[in-house]
Amino acid sequence: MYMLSTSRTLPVSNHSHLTELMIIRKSVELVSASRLPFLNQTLIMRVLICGPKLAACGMVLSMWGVIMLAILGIFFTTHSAVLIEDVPLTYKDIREDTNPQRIYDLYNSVGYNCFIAAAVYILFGAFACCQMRLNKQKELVH
Amino acid sequence: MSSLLRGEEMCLAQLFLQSGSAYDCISELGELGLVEFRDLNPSVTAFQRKHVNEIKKCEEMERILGYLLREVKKADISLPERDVNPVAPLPKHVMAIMEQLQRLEVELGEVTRNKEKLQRNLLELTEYTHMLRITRKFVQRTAEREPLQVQYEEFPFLEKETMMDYSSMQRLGAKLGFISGLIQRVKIEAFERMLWRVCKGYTILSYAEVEEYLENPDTGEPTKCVVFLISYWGDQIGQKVKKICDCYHCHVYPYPSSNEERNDVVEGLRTRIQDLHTVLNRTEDYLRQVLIKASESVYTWVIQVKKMKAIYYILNLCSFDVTNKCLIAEVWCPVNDIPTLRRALEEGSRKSGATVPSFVNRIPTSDTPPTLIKTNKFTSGFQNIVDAYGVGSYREVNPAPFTIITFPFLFAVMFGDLGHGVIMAVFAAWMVLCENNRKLKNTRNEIWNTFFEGRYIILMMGLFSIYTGLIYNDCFSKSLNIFGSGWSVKAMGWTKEQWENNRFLTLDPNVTGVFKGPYPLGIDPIWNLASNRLTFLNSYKMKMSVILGIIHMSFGVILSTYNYLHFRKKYNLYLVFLPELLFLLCLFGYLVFMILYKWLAFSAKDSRHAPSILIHFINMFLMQGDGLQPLYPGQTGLQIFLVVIAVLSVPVLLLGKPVYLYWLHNGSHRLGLYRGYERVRRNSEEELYLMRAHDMEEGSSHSDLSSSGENPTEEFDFADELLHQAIHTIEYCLGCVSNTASYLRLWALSLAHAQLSEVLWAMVMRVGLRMDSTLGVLFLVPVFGLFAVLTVSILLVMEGLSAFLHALRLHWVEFQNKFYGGTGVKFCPFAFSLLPSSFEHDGLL
Repeated sequence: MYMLSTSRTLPVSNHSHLTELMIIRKSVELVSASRLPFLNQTLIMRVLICGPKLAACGMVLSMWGVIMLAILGIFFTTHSAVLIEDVPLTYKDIREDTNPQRIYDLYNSVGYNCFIAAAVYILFGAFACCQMRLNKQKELVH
Repeated sequence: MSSLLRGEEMCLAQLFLQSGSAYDCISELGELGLVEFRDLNPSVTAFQRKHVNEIKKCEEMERILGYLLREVKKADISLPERDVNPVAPLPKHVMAIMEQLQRLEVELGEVTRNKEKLQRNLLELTEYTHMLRITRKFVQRTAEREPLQVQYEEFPFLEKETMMDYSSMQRLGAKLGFISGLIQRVKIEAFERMLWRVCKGYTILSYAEVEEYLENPDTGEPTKCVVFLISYWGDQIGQKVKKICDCYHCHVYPYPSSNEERNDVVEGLRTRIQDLHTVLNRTEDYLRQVLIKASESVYTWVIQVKKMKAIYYILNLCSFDVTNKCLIAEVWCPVNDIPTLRRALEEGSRKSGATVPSFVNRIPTSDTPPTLIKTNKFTSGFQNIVDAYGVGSYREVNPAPFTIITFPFLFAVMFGDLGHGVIMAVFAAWMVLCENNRKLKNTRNEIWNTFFEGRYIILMMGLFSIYTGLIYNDCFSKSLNIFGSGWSVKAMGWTKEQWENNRFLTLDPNVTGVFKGPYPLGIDPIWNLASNRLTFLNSYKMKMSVILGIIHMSFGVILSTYNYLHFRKKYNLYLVFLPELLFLLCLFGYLVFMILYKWLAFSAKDSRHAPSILIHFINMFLMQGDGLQPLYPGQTGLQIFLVVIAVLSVPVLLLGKPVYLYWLHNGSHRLGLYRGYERVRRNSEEELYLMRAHDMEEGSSHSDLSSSGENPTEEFDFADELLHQAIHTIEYCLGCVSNTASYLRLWALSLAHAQLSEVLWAMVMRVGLRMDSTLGVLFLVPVFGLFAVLTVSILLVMEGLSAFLHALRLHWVEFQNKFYGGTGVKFCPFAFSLLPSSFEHDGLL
């Protein structure tokens, strides 16, 4: 809006788009010099998706997810017996050979799954943290 | 710190306040919140009290403040966030505040009225503009039609609406009139029909809708309007049309007779509308400025007016003494706070500049004082849940300090999960760390306020749940193997055929090497993999519940001795407490002993021959059981002895106290003499009271008769006492059995919680973990989210509330009915911070 008003008060010649471009560039400079926080605010408005409560819930969930999935992953990679029912064993894996290597491999794969899920939750947590900070900025401006 | 165990000692005091300094003294007392005022004029209605006018003034100021706050809230101005606490204003300053408030009210009222008028004007002008613009289109249409009419003048109109054609009307000399205006769209059809029925063809109505929404001045909502133009012949028709227009609330505007006039009017309207817009903007700015200035001090005024009104209420409760220069107030005050009270009165006198100081005088009373128990932010939560059942009688033992530990413990026995306990404790710790955050403290949300008030309770519950989670070895339904299991499967030495052909195999602890010793803390993790896990845990938890229940109830019975000793009723110790305790311990204490004995004396080797405790317990009552193998030598003899003692304690409990009291009142005459002698010698009741108080301090045995009130010759009602004691006996004896069974809910709820947790893991988390494909990784992320949400909502909130409720019930009913009276009145001090504000209730503050 500010840009448009400046272009209206300045004389606009009939021909030559060049002069118009110069005018627009000058007004953009004016805008960027004096109204920087205004532009930033529009950027905030576009990137902000969640409200403060949703972002807080997301952060709590991702913190819990990271910790619990990491610990679960550790327990799976150390082949804990209590978790045997959570491993996708088949009859063949149990009965085939006396060496439990296949079972250990399955344990490890589930463990790595858990670690990858924990990493995804770290990203999710970073996103939620970012949203919370944007929300705080928006609150300060208002 | 005896305050938390028993409550403060209270006394009745009289305050003698000089009339000049009464206001300041009461203001000081209100700031401190020390005392509770008693109403000395109970028969006087609210309108007859002395300071009625001042209270009316305060209410007038509150009305204006309410109006101001509503205006401020409407304009979306935020109030300042300072923590202000102004003192109550002196009566001489009140006029200044009142004047300011009235001035503000008048100013705001004027500005608002002006604004409304201007807005109404603007609406009218806008409607007029629309009308002129739209009727121009009608005229253009008819102007186009006119040449056609001229052409077919000889032929009558084909339109049925006119009975006479245009030319014949002109010949009659009837004048053509126009009425134009706006009407709401919902009414236009009815309007048209009414016009047709009344005027029957002498009118022509044309109308068109306005494109934009116009604001309805009455309701403020945007409504659609329709511009209409009525052309009519004849004056009478014109009057009828005008009346119909009035009836339908049309806004009628003068119709311009020519195009030039129309253009002039349109130009004039446009300038006027622009001017009005400017003036309206200025008015709104000015209104906002006024409101911002008012909002800076309105918060202070609200508190000041609230305090002033409270002080006048209290002044109304006081009475004048004979000289009419001094106000007398009766207050309940804790004995330990009387020096503070004196200092407050001195401060008040000093502030008001009075020469004669106000003072306090303690007076004797036979009324029961209210109960005051001083709590801090930690103990107040537990005291609240005890008070919710009943406020303790004056100087009775308060179960709250014990509840601080037993309540979270019993909750944790029912909740018992390490992971859930950690989450609960973290949540409570966050609330505790952020307890000084103003936004958290002052929210309106009722449910959040309930959780926030109980944050220390939730923290204790969480910490205890972590402990019981370790004992039950249950963390999100999985066991933790911290120390290494005490069972070894390899030592069983099963062959490959046994592995392949059997669905279930049993680990036998009698085989060497299978059972290496008990797990150091809690349940062995191997039980998580066992198929008979529930059978084992049920037996363990049921016995544990009974043991905990008997301990809790015995503790309650023992607490009653505190009350008996304090109120100098020593006979209760021998006649009530001892039979009760013997009954409980001889029967159910023996059951606990048998449970513990069986756990200790029998091992895996003789587990096949271990006797059933229940059968032995039942046989104890039936005096049978010769065929059964005894648990220990001498069991039958001991059991008979215990049953005899328990049965004998019942009549002692039933008849002991009434008979003793009867003998006490009617058997010895010397007490009657004592009373009469003292009455003759000392006439003043005050001295008698002081002598009684002196006796109490010395621990005289005659003091327990003073509980019968002022009339020392009151008859002791034996029948009443006997009935009361009979009810108590039946309630106690039957209650012992039912309450012991009631404690089995500790087992039931912990079983439910463990099973729910297991089902949640099996049905949600396992599905995500067993996914084998490459997409299985990403599937685990939403599965965990679902698991987290369900854990919080079902296991933490629902099960948590359920366990909270059951633990509370166990305290209120099974524990407290052994010793607690709970018939007291709570001490409500006069404190400004405790007064509610009607504005907060309306959500304006």
